[in-house]
Amino acid sequence: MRSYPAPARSIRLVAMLALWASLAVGVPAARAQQTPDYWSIQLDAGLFSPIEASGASPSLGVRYCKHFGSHMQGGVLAGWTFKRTTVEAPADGLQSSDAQVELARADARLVPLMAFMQVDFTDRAWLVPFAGIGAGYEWLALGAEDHRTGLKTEARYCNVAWQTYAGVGLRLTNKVRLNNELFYIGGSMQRKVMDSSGRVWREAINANGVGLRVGLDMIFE
Amino acid sequence: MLCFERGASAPPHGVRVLLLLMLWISFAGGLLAATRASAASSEWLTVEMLQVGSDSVASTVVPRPAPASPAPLTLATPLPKPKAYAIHLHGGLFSPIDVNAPSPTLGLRLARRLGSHLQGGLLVDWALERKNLEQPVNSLPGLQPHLILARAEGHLVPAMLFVQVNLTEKRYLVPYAGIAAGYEWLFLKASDYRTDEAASATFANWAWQGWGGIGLRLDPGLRVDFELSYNGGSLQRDVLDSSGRPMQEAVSVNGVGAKVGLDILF
Repeated sequence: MRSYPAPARSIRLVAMLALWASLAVGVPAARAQQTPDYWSIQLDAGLFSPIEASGASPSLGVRYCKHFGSHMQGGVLAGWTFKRTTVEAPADGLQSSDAQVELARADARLVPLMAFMQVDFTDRAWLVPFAGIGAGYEWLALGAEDHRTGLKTEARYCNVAWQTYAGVGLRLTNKVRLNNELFYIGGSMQRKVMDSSGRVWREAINANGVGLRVGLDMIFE
Repeated sequence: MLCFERGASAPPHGVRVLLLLMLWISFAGGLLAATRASAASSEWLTVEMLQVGSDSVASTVVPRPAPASPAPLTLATPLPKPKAYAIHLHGGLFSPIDVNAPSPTLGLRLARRLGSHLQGGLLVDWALERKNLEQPVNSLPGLQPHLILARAEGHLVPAMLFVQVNLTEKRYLVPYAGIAAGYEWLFLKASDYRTDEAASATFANWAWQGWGGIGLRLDPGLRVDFELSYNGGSLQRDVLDSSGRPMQEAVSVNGVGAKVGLDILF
């Protein structure tokens, strides 16, 4: 793809998302001005499975947010997902028949950074259903090594992305909750590449996928 | 998706739609005026009902000191002013009938309470539909990159006036329905990166929306809404053919959507 006026579209998209997100956060913030200042942090871990790649990958994440009333909260989330894919062949020689030789390896790291809003559907029951949505930016770093040729390559992709999640929390104490949730991440990560003739194209990786995670949600003032 | 009509037959349709819209707005305005006549007493009642019917137990999580004795209510002490405005932030999917693919959509509805069950205001949405022509890049195992050869995208933006009826004001489940009418724009852009060709077009026309759903009232000022919606419209633009004759090009944007939103009173 030519490197012509593409940035304008991204900027428009980001501006619209920013406007929507500022309304989404600003209105609850204004509404909650008279409520006490409560914050919470969730540390979570789980599995994420991109739709276009086989296999689940480990995932870690954190959500840091302010409570706007007893049902709504908004803040920032970040995550880290690691996926390793290898090409292997049976080993020669007298080793075990299960032995494999790694011929090539590709590692992918997906890092989202998003603003999010979450709604708890109850604030008094022991089981707390909740759902949330986030929008922001996402980075994908790919690194590959072909042991046969010794060739190493690295590439970074990024773009606007979003995620949504829903789950059930088990209230352990007044301030600690164990959250179990399913989530979906949507995004098409892109980067610019140049072909042999010097033309600039855009390369994309579909990073849509589903996952599940378990997290500890802790409230503090 | 695209259909072509001769320009000569187009204006009467637009005029008819405009007249219908004016009639509808007059009807809605009259209805609202009649409703507002009794709104004051209803709003006082609503405040009391909302306070009594609250599901919120913020006090269990966020304890607030209760007054030693409730202040006597006299004519000189006004009741708390009811929250007159509401903002509804939503996201979801919109699927035009002529395009078999759902598109993400975001939007907001800013409303003023017009009575105990009625609200009216302005809505704005944005739906994005994007299609890429891609070619796989032969590379490594795992996530596969694709080269984008061509891209087409459409942005659908309605701006409308609406009225919405909440069928209850005190229950936990709140069925509601609304209808809106106004103007809608469709911005189309296509780029073929192989040939360096790009084209864009803007279509616009009167359009309407209707929706119905169920809200979960979490506290007196907050509701989570689940709704189905319908968008109706035929957006048009003027074009010239190769002989210079004016024609009209139309795009049908009829479609259904599913949204989840937050309704916040302030």
